[in-house]
Amino acid sequence: MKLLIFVSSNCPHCPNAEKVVEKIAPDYYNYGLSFKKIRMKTSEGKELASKYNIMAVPTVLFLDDKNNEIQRIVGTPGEDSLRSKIEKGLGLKKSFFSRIFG
Amino acid sequence: MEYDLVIIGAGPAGLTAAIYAARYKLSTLVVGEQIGGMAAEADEICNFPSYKKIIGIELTKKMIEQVENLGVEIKNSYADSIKKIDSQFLVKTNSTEYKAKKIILATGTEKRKLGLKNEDKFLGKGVSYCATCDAAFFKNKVVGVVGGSNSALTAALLLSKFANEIYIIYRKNKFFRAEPKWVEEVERNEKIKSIFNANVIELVGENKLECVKLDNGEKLNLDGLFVEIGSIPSVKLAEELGIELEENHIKVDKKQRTNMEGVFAAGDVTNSPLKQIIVACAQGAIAANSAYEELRNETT
Repeated sequence: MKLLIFVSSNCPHCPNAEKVVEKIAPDYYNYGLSFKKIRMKTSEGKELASKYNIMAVPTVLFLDDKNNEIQRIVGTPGEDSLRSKIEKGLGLKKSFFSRIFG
Repeated sequence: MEYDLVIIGAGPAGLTAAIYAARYKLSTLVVGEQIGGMAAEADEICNFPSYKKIIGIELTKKMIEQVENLGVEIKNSYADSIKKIDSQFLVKTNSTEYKAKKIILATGTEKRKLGLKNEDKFLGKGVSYCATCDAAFFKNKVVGVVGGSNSALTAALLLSKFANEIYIIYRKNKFFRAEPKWVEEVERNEKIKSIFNANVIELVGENKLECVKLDNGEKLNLDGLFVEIGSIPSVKLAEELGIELEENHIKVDKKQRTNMEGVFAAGDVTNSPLKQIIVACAQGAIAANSAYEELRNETT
């Protein structure tokens, strides 16, 4: 699974969002997660924003191995919320029933 | 970890308080979720003394640099709770606890939402609360701005640098609250049309915002809608502590003292009559001075 975080230099929320993702993402590298910061000013940023219909920054985009969107978070993600979504996406998060019944 | 002073909030009020506290040689920590606060979102600030014009993120960056140069740590964190234990305070974030002799609450405000169906669904897909962040995505598009305050008008003016058409949708019959200078600029801008006596009642679209319906019967095809209808004071921590509120703001006296000994408040979260950066800064300075005086009196 890939995380792309879309940021721009005039976005006051982006530095916080970057810090959260940079803090959390490395905990999951061994589980197959990769992470990339995408600056909106770059041609890569413009291309990906158009492809995935990104209309706000910061946006954290979750992509599967075929680069299909799994989900997105618009705004600064909370640490717990980001962890939960990453773990669910990587299949690390147990469902309620499997937690109860094993 | 123990401090003389913990400041909750890292906007202009909190940062100014930190500057003064540092110069008073108080051991100080700033805990804030949004470094720079709401001021960092402002596109053009034209009424802060010293600058004819400065963008919010630049002004707050200078404040942050000054705080850090004085050796004060700014923790990018959310304060979950504050408890009073004997004559001290315990501030808890999700990872750490801090003890403090004095607290300054400079928690600011949160953006008010429209409260409409699809508002959360279209967040980042046409609905935005930050024109500074997202205006560039609407180049050559048609957008709306809901509100009639300085924030709404400056959002519209910023958007006019990108979008082809901007509609300001305001519930009153003229712009009473905004600075006349901004009203003049909006009226002069050919890209901006103002719709008065109207409210947005529905957000329509499939995978993104496509259209809004107004209560005057109009339908506007919009690529984006920027919500600038004011803000709500962030008083959760204050309420949990038992701090007295006045019209949902923290009640303070001239020394920025609250009803609880050792707790001060500053900035837009207080019952200040004017919510401006310069006022927030002044209140931050007064709060820090009051905390310093109390600490000094307690040790003599």
